[in-house]
Amino acid sequence: MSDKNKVLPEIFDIIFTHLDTTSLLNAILVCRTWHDNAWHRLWRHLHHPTLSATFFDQLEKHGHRVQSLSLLLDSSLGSHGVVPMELTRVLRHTPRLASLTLRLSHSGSQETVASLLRVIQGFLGPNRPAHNNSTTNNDVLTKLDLDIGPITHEEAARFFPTFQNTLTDLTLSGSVSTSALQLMMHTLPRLHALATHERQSQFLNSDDDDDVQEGFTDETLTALGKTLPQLTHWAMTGNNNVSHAGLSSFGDACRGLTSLDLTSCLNIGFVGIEHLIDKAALLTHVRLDHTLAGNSILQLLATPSRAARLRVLSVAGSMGVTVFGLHHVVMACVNLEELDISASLHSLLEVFEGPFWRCTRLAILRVGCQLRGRRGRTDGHLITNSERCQMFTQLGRLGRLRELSLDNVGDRLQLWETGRAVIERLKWLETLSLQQFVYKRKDVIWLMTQLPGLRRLVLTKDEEHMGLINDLRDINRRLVVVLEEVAADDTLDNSNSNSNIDSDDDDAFFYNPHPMYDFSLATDSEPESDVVDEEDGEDGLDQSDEDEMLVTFAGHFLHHPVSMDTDDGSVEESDEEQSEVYLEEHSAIDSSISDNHDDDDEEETIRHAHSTYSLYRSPYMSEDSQASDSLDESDEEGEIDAGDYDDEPVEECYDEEGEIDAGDYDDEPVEE
Amino acid sequence: MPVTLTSLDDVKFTVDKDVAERSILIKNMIEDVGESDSPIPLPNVSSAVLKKVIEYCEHHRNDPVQVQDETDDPRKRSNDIEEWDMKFMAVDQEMLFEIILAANYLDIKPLLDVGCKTVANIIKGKTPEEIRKTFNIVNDFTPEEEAQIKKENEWAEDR
Repeated sequence: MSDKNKVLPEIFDIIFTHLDTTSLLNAILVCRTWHDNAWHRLWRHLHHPTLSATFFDQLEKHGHRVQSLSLLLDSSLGSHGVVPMELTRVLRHTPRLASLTLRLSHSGSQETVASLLRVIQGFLGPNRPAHNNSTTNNDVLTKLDLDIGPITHEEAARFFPTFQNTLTDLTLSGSVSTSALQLMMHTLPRLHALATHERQSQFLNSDDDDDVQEGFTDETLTALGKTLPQLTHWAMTGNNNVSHAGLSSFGDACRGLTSLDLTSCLNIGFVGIEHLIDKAALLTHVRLDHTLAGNSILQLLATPSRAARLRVLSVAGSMGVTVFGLHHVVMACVNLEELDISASLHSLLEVFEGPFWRCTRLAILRVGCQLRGRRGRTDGHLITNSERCQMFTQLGRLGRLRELSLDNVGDRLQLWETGRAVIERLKWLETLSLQQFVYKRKDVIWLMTQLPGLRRLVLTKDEEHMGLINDLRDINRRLVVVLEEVAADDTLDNSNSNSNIDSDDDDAFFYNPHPMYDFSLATDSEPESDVVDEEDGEDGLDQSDEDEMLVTFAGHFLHHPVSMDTDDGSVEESDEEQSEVYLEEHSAIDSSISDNHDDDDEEETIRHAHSTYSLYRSPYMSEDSQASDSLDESDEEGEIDAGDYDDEPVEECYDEEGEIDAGDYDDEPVEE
Repeated sequence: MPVTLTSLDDVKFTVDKDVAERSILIKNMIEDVGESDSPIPLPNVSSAVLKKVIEYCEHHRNDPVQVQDETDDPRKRSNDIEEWDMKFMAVDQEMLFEIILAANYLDIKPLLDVGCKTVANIIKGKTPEEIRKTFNIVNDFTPEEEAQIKKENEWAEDR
């Protein structure tokens, strides 16, 4: 661009459409030409803008440019009027808004919800105020995502008809009464995307005497299929009512689904999910985290006629899934871009055995073992060098990875000795998560010099290495280092909350191909986490007002609020504007009381998983012919290994970590 | 039927019609003029660039007509560039911008898009100063202006 005058404005415009907000903010500071061509893009999509005086000043001038708006309002003060007023202040200046995402830091009371809905209705309904001198306004609201508090039947009856002819994409989080859902589906005939992220509300259950049913039931789901058979994107998470009967009849009706999310719907047997997936032959995005989904579903998705369609598969924490089913997916679904199998397998390495994965387009891969409450406990399976090499060889072939999580795999992998050469080669990596790995300062530093593109690194907190942050800051100014504390209770719930928190992070949001699946604030108004809020009286919003502070409130939530005792995220932070390495300390949970109980539950599931596993050994595992496929490359890896691996004692940091949760863990470093 | 294209520096390229017609400009020209043997002059494109552009069109000759992806939201856009395209775009900056300009002039939208994505990827994650260095741009802001711009847009900063 030596002769920058040559670049036409329309070309600038195309380039800038590909930039995220952070990059845009840098671009407008480059020079006048860039500024003049780029600044207005900042106003197209407002994502959690800071509601400062400057913002409102600017909004008055530029609000007509805003097409989509995502607002997070602080409702911690509890007075009904404040939040609707804030919303009014923004919406009055955004006459052309087509998409609104509204979240409250704390679930609002019925009064708050009612007035918020009225504000939205007034400013974004068909009679919305026109922009400037034009007398009519043709802009309509097509997409709405609300996480504000319980929506009752009465409110729904008042609200939804306003958007009858416009709304095509609706997301409701929190508690919605069943009758409100019923009403909603009948008043919004144009919906093609619907997501409900259900959470039990305290309001409806405790304050109201009459028992109002919440969320989808078999009957309402059946009705949904009949009423809106055109749905293409459907998410229902956290539901505990629907059984396979409801899901099956919904599946019979909605056969055009391309995107499905049933995360944490624990009442639906795998038969129901299987039936739905069988009918929905166009599915490209499938999220079945923490469900009863099993291998039969993976096999179904990997059938030749549909395998190439699949882009996203997430079965984190779904214990029915084993290596057998996953092998079908990784060998058949060649266009897979995201695969999350974290905490669903009890032994990771088998996934990597056998012939090379054919899904080499993977950009996001999250693998990792179940922790089962205790670190270091193994599955009785000693890892051999060739297994390790095989795994790293497979990883090395996934050259397009942008995100890799190898959480809780443990030190048996000998990542630094065996795998580093492979990790280094993943040049596109932006996020790397290595929780529960023992690391050494020099290893991490060295790796970071090899991966200049890395933006986010997650490690387990280790007191010994606090100075590391400063070193990393020198190497990579844009790296966000997250030090995850070792949580005493490593259950399903924990990993679930983890993923929610991650999606609150902007980076994670960016990678999320379907923002409708972003339930960022799910933790915030979770009944359990309310307890947390009361206790430490702070949340993300409060702190975000402080300049240059980045706080991720990482309240891990558990289904056993009794024993919660949470350290809130504390922050250390650099003053220099340009060299920001943020340190997020995710809270640790000391839930020793519920620990035993959880362990029991877990053992149950594990035994189950074990038996399933032994029934379906991977078809590839015993086949010599296929194993020899990989010989060449694993030899290569083997060399690297042979050179490095004996030198460095791995146990060094073990004691350090063990101390953090002394008593909770039996450290059993595995030696070969 | 092959089509002959003439570059700025008067080099002639003979390509298949379906390859040439990846360019909407050429496609329209052929439609307007009708079948003819006379070469099509492309006075805005040098032979070096035209060679690259033809290479792209040949590789993508069988691509289906691009479905308009109207997602304006950069979050939703995948910055996914195909592997072949990525290698194809691994050229020096001068060439990269020449290709983009040629794609714009010849009206080859997929090529224009890939080029712009490539530039966007270069910009991403860089500070203003780094961007200037990369593209050899002179900072024509006064410090006061810079401060003003920063202040005006503070609200958009990621938290």
